[in-house]
Parts: sequence; structure tokens; C-alpha cells
Amino acid sequence: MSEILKPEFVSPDAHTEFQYESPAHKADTAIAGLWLFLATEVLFFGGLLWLWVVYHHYYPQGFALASDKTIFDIGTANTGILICSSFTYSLGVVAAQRGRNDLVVMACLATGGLGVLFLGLKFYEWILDWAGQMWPGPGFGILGPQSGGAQLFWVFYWVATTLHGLHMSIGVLLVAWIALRARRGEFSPVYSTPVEVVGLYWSFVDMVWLVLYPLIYVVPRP
Amino acid sequence: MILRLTIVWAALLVLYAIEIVLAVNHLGVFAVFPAAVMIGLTAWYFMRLREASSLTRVFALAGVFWLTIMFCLGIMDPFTRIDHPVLIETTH
Repeated sequence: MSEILKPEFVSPDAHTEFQYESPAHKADTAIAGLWLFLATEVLFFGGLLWLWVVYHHYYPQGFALASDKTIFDIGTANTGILICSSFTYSLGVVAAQRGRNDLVVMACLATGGLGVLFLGLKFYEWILDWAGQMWPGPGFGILGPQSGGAQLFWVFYWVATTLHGLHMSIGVLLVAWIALRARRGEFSPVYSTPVEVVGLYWSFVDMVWLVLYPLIYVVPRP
Repeated sequence: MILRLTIVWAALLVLYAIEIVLAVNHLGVFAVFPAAVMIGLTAWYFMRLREASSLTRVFALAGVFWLTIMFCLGIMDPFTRIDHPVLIETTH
């Protein structure tokens, strides 16, 4: 069997299996694969955005009343936090490509810390929303003819922020996993694919929030 | 590389500030424009589409492409329908 293995197919390093021409080819495959997954995520969140567009079209006043009850300050702070977290993680990717595992650990700690801060603020915001009777159904806090539209806005809010929060939680775990691997010194200029792939996921989740923030806190605001 | 990422980060913060200014001045509907640029910057620089292979870019565009089709088909009926009020007979 060994004679059919041409020398160029022999792994140039421990991380490259025979089916890849080079470490770069393997990295490109992983990155393209993650983008394919993100394309499915675009459609997943896209269904939610479509609901927002249609119900905002039917109930603009209900949406305005409902959006006025959202906690603008927390939503705005969280947007800034996520913008910064994508930046700190991007620095970590550059560090990994240069083999600086120590800086990757620091970037992961900053990113994960900002992620946890986001989730903490979000959780606090949910408690305030709940206390403000913003859970759709009996006892909903906005009465009158616009109550139906306002409830649809809050259905969107709870579903979208919960799904986004779940994605964020997974992201924090992934960033922690990268930090542990970097601490063991696993990344180098020839092997930094996991750092890059987790970064794609993290920035995508940030991007979803960049869509949700205007839809929830800004556009429908009276 | 680091300088470029820092510039992108600064640009995102400026656009973010524009969104806040629009929101507090009751012009929230215009926030979709800075938001769209922010999404583009994040994808191109932070998600490294700038350096990605053609296959990766095709996958990224495919996501946008199918989303556009879903949106267009999905809003066709609600945005073109005319709702006529219905008169209900209450007396006989």
C-alpha cells in the first residue's frame, strides 16, 4: 500500500491528514465549512427577522409602544460590549497566526469576559422586563387597542434574545476551549485554524446582535 | 494587520454612536443604514472574508442570496394585500 502514497501526500505536519494538499488547504476547508454552517444560521435567524418585518408592517403603533418599554440603556451597552469583543478576538486570531499563544489566552479572556458581561446584563434586563409585565399573555403591561401588536413585538423580543443568548453561551464555552488550548501552546504559524473558526462563530453571533439591536431598541422607537 | 483591525473597530464605534444619536432623536428608522455598514465591516474584516477563499465567499453570498429569496417571497403577500373593512350585519 505504501508505494501508492506519493511523497507530496505525506503529511507535512502533525495536523494535516493525507486528503489535504497542505496545511493551508486544510484551513481553507475548515473555514469554508464553518461559513456553510453560518449560511444555515443566516436562514435560521432570517425567519425571525421576516416575522419582525411582517408584524411591524401590520402593527407599527403597537411596535412603537412596545419598543418604548425596552430598556434602551442596557441594549445599547450590550451592543458596545459585543463590538469590542469581536475586536479583541480578532487580535487573538492575529496572535495565533504569529504563534503567540500567551496573547491568544489574553484575547480569549478579554473576549470571554465581555461575553459573560453581555449575558449578565442581558439576564438583568430580562428580570426587569419580566417585572415590567412585558411577558405576552394574560397580565401583559400594555393595554388598549395596540396591545396585540405590542405582544407580538415582545414575542419576537423573548424568542430572539433567548436564541441569541444561547448562541452567546456556546460562544463563551468555545472561547474558553481556545484559551485552554492556547495555554498548552498548541497554536503556531502553521496551525491556528481552531482559533480562526471560533472567531467566525463569535463575530457571527455579534453580527446577529447588530441586527437585533436596531430592530428591538432603535427602529420602532417612537 | 493590527492597525487595520483597530481602524475597523473605531469605525464600528463611530457607526454605533450614529445609531444612538438617531435613536434618541426619534430618527430610529434611519439606523438601518449604519447597522448595514456595521454588518458589512464585521463580515469583511473581523470574519476575514477579505482574505477568504472563493469557495468561502460563495458560501457567504449563498446565505445572503437565500435569505433575500425567503424575504422577497415572504413579504410579497403581506406587503401587496389590500385589507378591505368588512361590514358585519348586526340587526335582522
